[in-house]
This record gives sequence, structure tokens and C-alpha cells, in this order.
Amino acid sequence: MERRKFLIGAGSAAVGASAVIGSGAFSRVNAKRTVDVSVAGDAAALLSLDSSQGENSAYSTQTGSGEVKVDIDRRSGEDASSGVNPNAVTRLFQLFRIKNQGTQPVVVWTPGDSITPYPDSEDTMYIDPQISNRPNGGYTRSKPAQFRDEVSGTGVYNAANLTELGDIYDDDTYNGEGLTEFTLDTGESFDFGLYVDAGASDADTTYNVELVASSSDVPNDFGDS
Amino acid sequence: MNRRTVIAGLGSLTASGGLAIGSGAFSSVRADRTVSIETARDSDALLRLVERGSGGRSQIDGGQLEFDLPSLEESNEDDTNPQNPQGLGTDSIYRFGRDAGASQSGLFAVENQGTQPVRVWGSQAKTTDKNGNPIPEVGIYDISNGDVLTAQNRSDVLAPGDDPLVCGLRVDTFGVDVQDDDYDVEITINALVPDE
Repeated sequence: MERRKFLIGAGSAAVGASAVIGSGAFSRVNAKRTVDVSVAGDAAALLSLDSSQGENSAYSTQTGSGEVKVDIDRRSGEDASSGVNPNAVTRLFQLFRIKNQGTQPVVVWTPGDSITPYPDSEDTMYIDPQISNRPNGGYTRSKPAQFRDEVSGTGVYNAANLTELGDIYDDDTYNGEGLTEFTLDTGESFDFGLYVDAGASDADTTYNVELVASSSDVPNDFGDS
Repeated sequence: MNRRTVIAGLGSLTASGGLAIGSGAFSSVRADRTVSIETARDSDALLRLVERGSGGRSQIDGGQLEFDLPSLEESNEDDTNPQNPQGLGTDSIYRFGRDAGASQSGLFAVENQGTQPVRVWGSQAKTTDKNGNPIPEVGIYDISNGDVLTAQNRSDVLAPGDDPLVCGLRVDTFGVDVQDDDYDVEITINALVPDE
């Protein structure tokens, strides 16, 4: 699991950086140190993904290993199979809640290469993660097709190929405030949703959506006002 | 979730030997999560769309609701309509409140199989053909009160589990040329959480 690897990696780096070496010369030191890593379920993690929060949280669950999983098939606790309508656009906001449970502000976003590119064909399904109920930034709704404060988690409308955070949200399309829109201070949260254009496809499709939280990308002026 | 796990999580960068690293600061996390999306037939989908009557004016074809006005059965001999009409008249407004030969009211019904209440309406993006000539304008209306459902005049709230919203089609052929080929009209059935 990626997160586990990361935590171990970060822990090791921290130990290295903090190991102050004295002035005495030595050729070699072997020092064993213990790194305790606790892996929590998504809901309790530093970057909390809580499938119990949100008006459409019935479509998200926590797997046995604690990972949030979105399943636009059946509502949790119900047997009836369902799904999105073919040849239709379905928007499901608030599938789960993303909360910063760390101690620093972070920018949370979705790299565009983790979702599908905008399809050339009407037959292909297209999804775009939507972030709503953002606590920061000055977004005002600018497109009639949007009916809340939702914006693409990639930061750019129709830019699924976007992979560079530097490109995020850098035009005035949203009348927003760039990365600030995607910043969560300690204890703050926003909601993850989906825009699904089923096209004419009748396929059942599974995507791996990558969520990235990074403190080094927080705008310098965040929290000034 | 218990408190212990949080504490353990926050302290996860603590090494033994007293090298306490600041609690809970994390500089970067990447997490891959799975999103599965199933496409269902209109009759099974989140916004359930079903035909009413079996006269062919409405039907589910390839999983999607579609309409033929008049229906093929109507325009052929020896079928539901002995008059065998070949089409709608021009410069007219028609309302189709039930299928050909059907006793049941409504051409189709809308049911909410999602999680949130919605209001429903119809829209039509294109009202002219590629040459700029008018094509029929098709709206949906609520059979129970005759109200045409538009973005400005949406249906009553349709909550999950409510009785289906039974609808007919209103067709406006003003200025539409008579032609042998069918007009292909694409309408959109919208459902949106109220008060947005």
C-alpha cells in the first residue's frame, strides 16, 4: 500500500536528519533505531478520507483494509443493483469528506493523469473528480452548468492530462484564487464528488483516482488574511 | 476509530532514543483510491426511466428510453391505429399523454433511485437542423396536472421511494417542414437537487 510505504520513508528520512553527528572522528557507526509506524484507516489518517460524511456517502464505503472506495453501483446497505444512466451526465457531490488531520496546511488535489482523458468518442465514459464545500479561496460560480462551488479536483476544467501542480487553476476560469482554493488548514475539510459522463458506453469501469496532499505547495500568503 | 490510533498515527514519525519529531506534520501524502462506476439500463439506473404502454411510441432500446411519434405500429397497416398516420401535422402543437392503444396514462415515467430528492424537467439543446431550419420542439409534461416541465418550471420534488412521475410529450411543429424522413430530436431529461 502506497501510504504505508510513504510513512516509513518519511520516518526514515526524519531520523537521518535529526541524528546529530558529533565532532569525534569515526569510521563507522552502526546505530539501530526503531521506527514505529502506525497505519490508520482512511477516516483516522493524517489525510482523513471519511466515507461516512456527505450527502452521497451512501456510494462510498471503507474497505476491510480501511481504504475509502467509491462504488456508483449500489447504495451501501441495499441489494438493488443500479448505476448511472447511459448517455447521461451524472453529478454526485459529497461522496466522501477529505479532512486535514495533520498540523500544517496542505494543498489537496487530483493529478490529471490518474483519471481518464476527455474522450474523443461519445462512446467513452468520462469522469472528473469534483471538490465542493471548499473553506478557502474566493470562488464564485461562473458557469451555468455548475450549480454549487464544485471545481475539478485537477484544478482545471477539462484538463485530465494535467500532471503538474504548477499548472493548477492558473487561469481565471473559475474566478478563484488558485491553489488557495485547494488548501486545507489543520482541521479543515472539503468534499470529494464526481462528474460522470457515461457516454454511450454500457461498460462498468473502475478508476484509480490519486489524491495528493502536499504542504510544500501551500501558497505563501495562505492564512494572512 | 479510537483515540489511540490517532495518537499513534500522529506520533508515527517518532523514533526511539528521544528523537521526537514534531507531531503530525506531514509534507506529502499520495493515496490511490478506487472508483467503480457501473452503467445501468435506464430502467435500472439512478434516474429510473421506464416506458409506459406497449404501443411503440415509447420504448427502451439498447438500455435507453426513446420515442417514435407516431409509432411504427401506428403508421403501419393492421396495427394499433387503423388510420395509419404517417406523421404529425406541421404548424401544430401535439400532446402525447399515453402510448398508442394504451389504457395506461403516460408515455414514460421517472423514478428516483438515487439518494437525494430532485426536481425534473426537459430541455432541448438544438431546435434547428444543421441548415438552420426549425425542427420539432419536444418538451415533457406532468400527466397529473399538464404542466410542461422546463428549467423555469420544474416538477414537484421527486424523492427516493416516491411514486413515479408520469410524463407525456408535448411536440411543437410550428415552422417545421413536411418531409419523408423522421426528424431526430434529442431531448435531455434533467434531475437536480431542489433549490440550487
